[in-house]
Amino acid sequence: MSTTRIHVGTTANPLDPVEALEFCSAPGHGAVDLFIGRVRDINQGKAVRGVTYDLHEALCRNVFQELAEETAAQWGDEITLCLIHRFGRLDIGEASVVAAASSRHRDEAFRACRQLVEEMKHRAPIWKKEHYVDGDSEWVQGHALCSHG
Amino acid sequence: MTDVSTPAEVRIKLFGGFRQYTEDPELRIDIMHSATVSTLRSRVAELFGDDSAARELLKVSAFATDQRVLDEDDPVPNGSELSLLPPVCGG
Repeated sequence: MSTTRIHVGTTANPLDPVEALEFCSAPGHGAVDLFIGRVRDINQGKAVRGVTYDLHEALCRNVFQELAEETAAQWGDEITLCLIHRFGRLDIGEASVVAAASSRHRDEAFRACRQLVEEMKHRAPIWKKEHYVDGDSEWVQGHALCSHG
Repeated sequence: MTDVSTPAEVRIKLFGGFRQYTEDPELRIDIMHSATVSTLRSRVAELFGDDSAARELLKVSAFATDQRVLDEDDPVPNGSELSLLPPVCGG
């Protein structure tokens, strides 16, 4: 019987990694892996003072759920997964995304957590606008979701 | 019963880089019920006129419902609100 548990979401509020860890907790799970994505102060040589995250909430939650179900299918049906992304204006050092995975042994937890994050970056409808120290701002280029031409 | 020979209004929410090209984060386009996503893309390109940056971004962007990303050959869903999604970069 599958004991997979999944929690995904989006929020305008600051992220709390402890909540992800508490969700990814089970008596039989000897491993939990936590990833926190944070806003850094430089990108491609330009000094950054903040990032605005834009996302499509409904589709984002659907995609997160799909990614988590795919990840669970790949790394075992006794896994617990959590993926939460923040939106709005964030300052340097603030967490933009928290992903966590717990499982009986460490290998599945490490791999599942990484898979969640990597797939999220390529498939989830999220965009970021960097605000630079020089006063300029720019939407960051990303991965196309379309498959045409 | 829906009359497929008459146009219907499609609302398209804009995200990410498209926000810099328009004051209103939503487009409204009248399109035939039988139209495909490919046809809708052409109509949006017309709306962007000679704004080459917006038209270039449109070429690498996807149309989606709240449930899924649409293919070019998909019919435009009746009465639904769509979204125009530029290349993504979460995290």
